[in-house]
Amino acid sequence: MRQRQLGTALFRVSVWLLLAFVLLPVVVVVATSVSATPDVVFPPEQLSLRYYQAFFFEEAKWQAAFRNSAIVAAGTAVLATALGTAGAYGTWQLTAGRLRQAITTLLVLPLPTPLIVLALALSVYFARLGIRGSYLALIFGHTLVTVPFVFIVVRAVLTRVDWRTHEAARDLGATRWQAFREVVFPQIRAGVIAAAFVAAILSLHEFLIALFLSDLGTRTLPVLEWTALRNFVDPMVSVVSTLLIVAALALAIPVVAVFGVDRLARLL
Amino acid sequence: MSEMVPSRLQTALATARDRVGDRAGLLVVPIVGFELAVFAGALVYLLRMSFYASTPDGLYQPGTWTLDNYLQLATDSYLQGRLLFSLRLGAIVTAITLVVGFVYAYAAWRADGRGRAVLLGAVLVELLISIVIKVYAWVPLLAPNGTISSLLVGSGLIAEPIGLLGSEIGVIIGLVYSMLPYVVLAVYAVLTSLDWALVEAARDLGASRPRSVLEIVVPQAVPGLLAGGITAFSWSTVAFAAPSILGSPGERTVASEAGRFVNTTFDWPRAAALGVEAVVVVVLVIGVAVALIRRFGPAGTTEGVL
Repeated sequence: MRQRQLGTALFRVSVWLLLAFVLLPVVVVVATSVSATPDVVFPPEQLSLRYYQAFFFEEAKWQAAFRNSAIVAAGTAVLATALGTAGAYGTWQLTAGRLRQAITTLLVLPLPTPLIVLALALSVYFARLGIRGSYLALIFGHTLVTVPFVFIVVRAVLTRVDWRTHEAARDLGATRWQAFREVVFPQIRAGVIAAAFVAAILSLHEFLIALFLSDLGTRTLPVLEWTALRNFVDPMVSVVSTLLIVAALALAIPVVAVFGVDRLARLL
Repeated sequence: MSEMVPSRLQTALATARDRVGDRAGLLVVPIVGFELAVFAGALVYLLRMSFYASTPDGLYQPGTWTLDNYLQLATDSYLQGRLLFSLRLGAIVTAITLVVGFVYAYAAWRADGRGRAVLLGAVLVELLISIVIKVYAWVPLLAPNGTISSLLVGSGLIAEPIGLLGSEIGVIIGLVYSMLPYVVLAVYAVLTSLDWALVEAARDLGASRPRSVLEIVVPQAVPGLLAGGITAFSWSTVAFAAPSILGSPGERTVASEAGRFVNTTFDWPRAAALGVEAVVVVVLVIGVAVALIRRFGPAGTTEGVL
C-alpha cells in the first residue's frame, strides 16, 4: 500500500517536472525581455522596459522585420485559407475512391517532409524562377507548410455540417453555389476563420523556410532573431520572442473558442 | 445594350457558378495545381540540381548531367561522419522524446478537466512557438553561468559550474523540447479512444499499476508512438537551428552542412545531393522500423503508415 502511494507521488512529481520543462523556456523568454542589463540571465537581476522602448521607437531593422512578418503572415493566411478551404470542400464533394485518396495524400505530404529539404528545394527553385527573396516567395513557402493544417481543420468542421439543410436548399431550387454560400458556409464560417488564424500564427513563427527564401529586405522576425543570435546574445531577441508569443496566444484565442483545447489537441 | 451587358454577365456568372457547383470536386484544382507547381516542382528541381556539375565560382552549370555530387558524398569521410552523427542524434532524441512524451500524454489522459486543459494547453502553446525562440530560451538556462548550472552548484550536487551549452547534451535537450509536443499530441489522440475499464480490469486481477500500464496502455498506444516517433526522428535527424545555437561545430548535422553549401559556399548541387541523401536515408530507416514493428509488434498497429 505504501509502495503504491509512493509510486503515485513519484508519478505526480514527474508530471509537474515535465510541465515545468515545457513551460520554463517560455517563462525564461518573457522574464529576460524585461531585463535592464544587456546580458541575458534568468532570473533577471534588474527589471526595465528599455528594450521594448528600443523595439518600438528606435531600432529600424526590427521594425522592418516586424512589417515583413506581418505582410507574409497576412498573405499566407489569405492564400492558405482560400486554397485549403476550397480543397477541403472539393475533396468532400468527390466520391470516395482512389482519386480522393491520392489528392488527400498529396495535400498533407508537405507536413512530414523535413523542413530543411523543403527550404533547400524552394530556395534553388525560386532562385531559378527569379522570385527568391520576394514576399511572394515567402508567402508561397509558408502557404505550402500551413495549407495542410487549414485543410485538416476545415475537413473537421465539414463533418459537423448538417447536410440535410444543404439538400433542402437544393430541393427548394437553390443553385449549388447559393446552397453553399447561404446554407453550408454559415455553418463552417467559424472554422474557416479559425483556420486562417492558425495559418497566420504558423507563418509568424516559421523560421527555416523564411531563412532560405528571404533577403535583407524581406527577412522576417525569426530570421532577424537568428541573425542577431549568431553574433552575441541580445535582450532584443527576448523582447521580439515575447511579442511573437503574445501574438500567437492572442491569435489562438478565437481558435480555442471554436474548437476547445481537447479537440484541438486531437486535431493538430 | 448597356443594360444587356451586366445581365448577360450575371447569367454567364450564374451558369459558371452552377457548373462549378455541379462539379464541386473541381474546387480541388487550385490547391492541387499549387502543390504540383510549388511542392512537386521544387522537389523535382532539387533532384535535378543534384545532377548538375558544380563550378569553382559558385552555383552550378546548367544543362550538365553528372553523378559527381553523389560520388563525393560517398567518398567524403567528413560528410559521412556528419550523416552518422545526425542519425545517432535523431535516434537518441526520438527514444527520449517517446518515453517522456508517453508519460506526459498518459498524465493528460488521466487528469481531470482542468489538469488536462493545463497539460494540453502547455504543449499546444509550445507547438506554436518558433523553433528559434524554443532554442534561444535554453541558452540562459544551459550556459556555464546559467540557471541550471547555478542551481546545481548552489544545491551542492556539483562542485564546478557545468556548461551544457555548446555540447551534445545541450543539443539533445533543445531537440527533445522541440519534438515533445508532436509525440504528446500523437499519443494523446490514440489514448482518448482507449477504454480505461481494461486497465481497471487488469488491476482488479492483481496487476500492479506500472505493469497494467506497460502491458495494456503501451501496446494500445503504439500507433500514436509510431506517428510521433516518425515525426521526431525525421525532423531531429535533419535539425538545423538547435545544433547551430546549442551545439559546437562537433554537433553539426547534415542539415547544417547543406545550409552551409547553399548560403556560404554557394555549392548548390552538393547541397541538393546532400538533401536527397538525407531524405532517402531517413525514409529507409523509418521503413525498416515500421517493418520491424509490423513483424514483431502488436497486430494492426501500423495500419495506414507507409
